[in-house]
Amino acid sequence: MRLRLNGITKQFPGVLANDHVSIEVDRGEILALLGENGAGKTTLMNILSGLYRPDEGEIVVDEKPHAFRDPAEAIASGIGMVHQHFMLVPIFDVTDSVTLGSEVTRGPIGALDRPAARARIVELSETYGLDVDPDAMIEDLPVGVRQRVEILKALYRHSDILVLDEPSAVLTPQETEELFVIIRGLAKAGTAIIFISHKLNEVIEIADRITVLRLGRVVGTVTPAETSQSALAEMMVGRQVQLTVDRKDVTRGEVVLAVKGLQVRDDRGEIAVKHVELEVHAGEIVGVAGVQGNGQTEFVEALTGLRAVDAGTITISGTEIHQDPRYIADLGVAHIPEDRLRDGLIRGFTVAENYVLDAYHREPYSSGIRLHRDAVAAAATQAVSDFDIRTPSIMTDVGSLSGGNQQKVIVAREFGRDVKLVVGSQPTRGLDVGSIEYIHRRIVEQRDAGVAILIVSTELDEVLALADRIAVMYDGEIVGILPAAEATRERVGLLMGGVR
Amino acid sequence: MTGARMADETTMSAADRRAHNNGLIRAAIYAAVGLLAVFVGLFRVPADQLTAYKVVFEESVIQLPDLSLPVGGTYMVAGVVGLIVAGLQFTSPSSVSWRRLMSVVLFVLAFAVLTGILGGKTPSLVGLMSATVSFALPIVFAGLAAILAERSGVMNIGIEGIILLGAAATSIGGSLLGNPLAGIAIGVISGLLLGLLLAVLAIRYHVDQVIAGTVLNLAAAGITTFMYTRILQVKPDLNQPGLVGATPIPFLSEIPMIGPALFNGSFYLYAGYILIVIMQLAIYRTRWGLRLRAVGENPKAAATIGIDVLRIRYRALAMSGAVAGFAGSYLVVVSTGSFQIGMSAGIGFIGIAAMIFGGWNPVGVAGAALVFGFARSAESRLGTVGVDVPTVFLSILPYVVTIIVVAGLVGRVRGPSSVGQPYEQS
Repeated sequence: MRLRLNGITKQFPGVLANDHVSIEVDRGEILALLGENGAGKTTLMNILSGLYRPDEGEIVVDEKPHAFRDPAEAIASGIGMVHQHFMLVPIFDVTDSVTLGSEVTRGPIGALDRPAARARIVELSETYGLDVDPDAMIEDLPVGVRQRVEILKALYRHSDILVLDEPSAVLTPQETEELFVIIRGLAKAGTAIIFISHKLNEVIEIADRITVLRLGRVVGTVTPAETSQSALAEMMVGRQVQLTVDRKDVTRGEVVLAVKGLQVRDDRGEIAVKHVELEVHAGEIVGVAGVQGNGQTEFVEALTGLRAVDAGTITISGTEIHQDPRYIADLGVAHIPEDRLRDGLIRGFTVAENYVLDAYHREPYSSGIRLHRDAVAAAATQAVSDFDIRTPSIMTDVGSLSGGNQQKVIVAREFGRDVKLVVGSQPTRGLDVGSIEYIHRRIVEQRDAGVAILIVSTELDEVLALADRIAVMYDGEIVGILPAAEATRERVGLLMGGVR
Repeated sequence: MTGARMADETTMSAADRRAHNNGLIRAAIYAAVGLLAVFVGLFRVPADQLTAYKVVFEESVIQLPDLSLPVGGTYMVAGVVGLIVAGLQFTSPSSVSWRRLMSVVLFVLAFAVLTGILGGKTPSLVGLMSATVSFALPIVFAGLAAILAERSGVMNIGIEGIILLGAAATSIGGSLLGNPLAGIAIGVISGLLLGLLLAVLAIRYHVDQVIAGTVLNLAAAGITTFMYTRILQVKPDLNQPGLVGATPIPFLSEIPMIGPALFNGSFYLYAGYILIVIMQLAIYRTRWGLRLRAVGENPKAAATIGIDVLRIRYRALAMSGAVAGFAGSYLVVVSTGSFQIGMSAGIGFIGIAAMIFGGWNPVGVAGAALVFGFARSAESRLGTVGVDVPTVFLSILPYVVTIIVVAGLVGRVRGPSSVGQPYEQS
């Protein structure tokens, strides 16, 4: 066996992240590690790559036990990681990024031998069909190519145990297919591959064996042939899961959100949203699909008043809006931001304080300069029970809640107003399946009650499950709008890659 | 403007329009300044007034006649350059490299004003250049110290304090050991230790790097003032480290204009050249430099491939401190021969400004330091030639130049991404 993890245990304050986890993978084999967010996959991989040290258990490479003290030792044993958040230096070129840490040098002072390093990268890139330009700057490369640079980094270090952490999270379905071709090629050449994912269809497609993790423990190992998506989901969550969302037929009403010729710039001053035209009617869910970083963040920030509009107009129920978040909220817009702790909640504030962030300045929560703590507490207590927020008390720091409960605090606050439009950006990012179901149900309830809903998500499955109409964003533009009935994975996937 | 460009304007976005309008405003300013200079040259200066610049020292082997410039003519040349630049700016308002244009205008204008102020006198251009280099040299060291720290991702605001303490240590050490070279060694070592102290505060204890540096600066000012009044004034023989003399390079130091400035200095000058070249090569062409830059840009990425982020940062801070201590020793053994209260005089901060102006790049820092050194040398030279400008204005000149350069010329340059953020090793 090329690699075996025996009884790995890792305790963090308050969480047993890995509880006697044992997995194994052999040369030429693709092992999928399946689990929800928080199941302990990433902790396990950080242990394997030498970033964390386990409290118990051993890592056995070629039947020899190892205790990695740092990443250099893991790399020396042949383990290569492709992290979910790429570990590249944006201002370096591909050659420098790949060789960093194992540079090709000449002479006693370590002068870089760039021509030799470049030649080696060209050779590797050609051997494995990675198609990477050794002279390109990392910051100019699309994410799919950056990922191949990460794979190159591992190959350059002679890694024959390759760990990919959620590799498809940033890819279109077609790019994912290309990645799978590369992965299968590497496996055929004798590399042992660990493929970490929470996407059921992917692990069934790529893996030879699937090990499922739940709450830090191995639930079981199966082969794709003997399992199905629903069986895997049940293993992953620990109960029966409904993979689709129930919804009523609702006739759509008048236009609530109208976006005309919208242009928005990003922080660097580049045009991030180009001439977007979009309408959302009362009683419908419009989903905006797209690979991360194609202008969705800037689009949502413009809609919610967090970012200036460069050109064009945004109208909500006939009122043109400007950069004024409170005014927009008071018009009846609920905002579920993509980054909970940056734009949704204030860490260090209590659940109750976060619940009244949109209304603390008004009756009944305050009058004049006085804040009525009783009224705040009463409203927050009610919200905690209405929205099933699991918190020790309303005076608990919101930062100490789980992601799912933090998201419920936001949903409780935002849906507590008289809502006409919901703008949800990655509304279920990083949540467990139970919380995802809950948030989806609340969103569909709003739609059924005649609210206009815009959901922006990079999870294609989420958009397909929720939306009545699907708009695809690519390079700042809406490249197509499809009714749900015509939106197959393939059609949407091609649009996500910019193919019209 | 052509019809096509007018059509463009209607579809331009707010930001493009802003850039376009700013360009037109700049063009108008250049034109106004240019016209003013031409006007001054034609009507406000006596037609026959000359400024005779000396281009060689009296003791030089090669002797050349003075460079006589008509004041009015110099103003007019500057004015014409201003108008040409205005024209360039006007024809493509938002697309020209306006920082470069602005530097050109500022330079010719500064030279014209200088010639005007000195009208009728015989100032020494070669002396001005020598002074420029000797004022620039400590700024170069301060700037290189700043680069070493920031490239590794740690901000070193404490350079000013390290220079001051390094100067004090050099003076006392040199006096005690009776040898200025020993004093320099002690100055460098104390700088290194202070750099490590900052590193421990910033890296191990995650103290805010601006605050740690500021505290060091305040402490350095307090400690050295106390030492000076209580020890050095009581026992003056502890403040006599001796001087390091100049070592002229044969032939090269005889080149008119630039020879005395560039090739007739103490070993600090040559050490400066070597350090600039070595650092430039080391940062961009060696394994050490690649890792240093990686750690400063994305420490997590460096750590995942087995690079010891903290060790690189500790070493960089130690080197940064040592170079700053070297700058402090220069002030003592080359400039004054003894330690004086507050003798760092903002060199550490100007060094940080030079780092930014020079784009975190050693050769760039050298260029920036020359600009600042020129301002300081112009201040001292104009004072001695005896011009009709109040000395207060002359003495604020170097700082005004620093502010103009950093605020106006540099704009938004991109430094290492992770500067100022502590790295948490898991």
